[in-house]
Amino acid sequence: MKSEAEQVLRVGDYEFPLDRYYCSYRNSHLWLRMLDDTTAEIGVDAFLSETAGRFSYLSVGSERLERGRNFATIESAKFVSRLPAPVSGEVVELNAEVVSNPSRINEAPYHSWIVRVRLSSPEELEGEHMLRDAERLRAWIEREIERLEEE
Amino acid sequence: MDEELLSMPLDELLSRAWELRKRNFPDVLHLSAPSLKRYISGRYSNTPSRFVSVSVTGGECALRCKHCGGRLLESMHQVSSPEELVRLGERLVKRGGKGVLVSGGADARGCVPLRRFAGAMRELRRMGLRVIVHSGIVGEEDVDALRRAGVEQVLLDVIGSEETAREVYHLKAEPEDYLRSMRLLREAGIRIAPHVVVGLHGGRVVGEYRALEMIAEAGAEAVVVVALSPMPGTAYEGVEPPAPEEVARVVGVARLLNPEAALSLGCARAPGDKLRIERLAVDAGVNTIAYPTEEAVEHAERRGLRPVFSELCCTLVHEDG
Repeated sequence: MKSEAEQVLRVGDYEFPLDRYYCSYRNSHLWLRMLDDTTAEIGVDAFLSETAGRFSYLSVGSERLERGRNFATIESAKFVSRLPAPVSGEVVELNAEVVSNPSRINEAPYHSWIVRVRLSSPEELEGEHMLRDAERLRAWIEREIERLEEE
Repeated sequence: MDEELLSMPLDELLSRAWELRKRNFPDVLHLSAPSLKRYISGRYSNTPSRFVSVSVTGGECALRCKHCGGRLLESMHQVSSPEELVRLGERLVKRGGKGVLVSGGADARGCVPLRRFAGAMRELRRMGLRVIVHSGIVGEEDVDALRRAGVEQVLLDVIGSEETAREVYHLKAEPEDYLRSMRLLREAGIRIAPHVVVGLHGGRVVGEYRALEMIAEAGAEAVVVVALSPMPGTAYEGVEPPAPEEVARVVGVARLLNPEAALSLGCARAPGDKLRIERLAVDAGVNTIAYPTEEAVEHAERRGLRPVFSELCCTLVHEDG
């Protein structure tokens, strides 16, 4: 049996390692992976990184995250979005390499974390928009694929 | 060009441009987010298919200009026949579409082959869609076709330097060809929205002020300033974009030379300089910013402007209320 770190959900053309949470709030497509009990890293999932096109700009504007408040801006030729924080907490590390070369996210979305955060309210991980269960995640991504096809 | 404007300290130029804006326009900053890009912010998100861009040449362009290399066509809907354009229009109407920017690659003379799509554009108008086009240089026959098609507005990049046309666009054209195009359109009663690309010549400001002079001479209803954003996969990848202050000076001069025109900071600017360019553009008296950062919107509010978002192209939003 595969360990949690090895399990990957495939929905359409997109892969989702099941060792992390996925944030469906405002369809932000951020992932959050716990590094220890209180620290997590946050990045962009494969759905967004593949559908938005090559990212050319990433800016992180806050040292303190508040769940639902925008903390970063990401942009490609056909996409520009403010990213809402999936959780509240303090930024303890910024991935300068990804910020200066945001196309790294397109190349390896699950290895290109943007910020590491010390969570101030770990219970937020239990919120309705934080998906970890494979079936709920699959249902959301299928809806997203449908939405994309309609566009 | 008035040498005083070019040598004036930037603060003073912006201050004059701001005062003119306050005198001539309401305290509104229009913010444009057409569907060319998906735009999601805390304040506003656009709707896919509401106002789309279409290339009538698919991914083809004979010029392969240094700053674009055909890359801009990639993010557009692509059609290759008038029938396809009509079918796209029908789909858009079903999805609540409001309008279309019809564009495409240019031929070797710098003209986008829009004429054979005139009937299809007329059909889009009949469906209730707003139709604007992005043309290159136009002649009398093109203008006549656009007029008959009921096109509401023509966007064109105005190049103010023969050297830039040759070096960057690989085009044998003179600045006067652009002036002539704008005049023909105006004489036919078609509204124009000329664009000036700051830093078009490898990041340097070369013909931009001459372009602004010609635009003022032609009498445009809307003027758009964009800034070079070097794109990966083009000849300009790695080129240093123009400094935000250089962009701001062009915006400020555009404001002063076109006191009644709706002035926009359009879709393109280098990502790393976005915020600074947008703030300075607000100070220089623009009426509209496309795909703004939230920080720029907040800056505008601090200066007493009320933000109004729209899904139309930046050249149309001032008509949107």
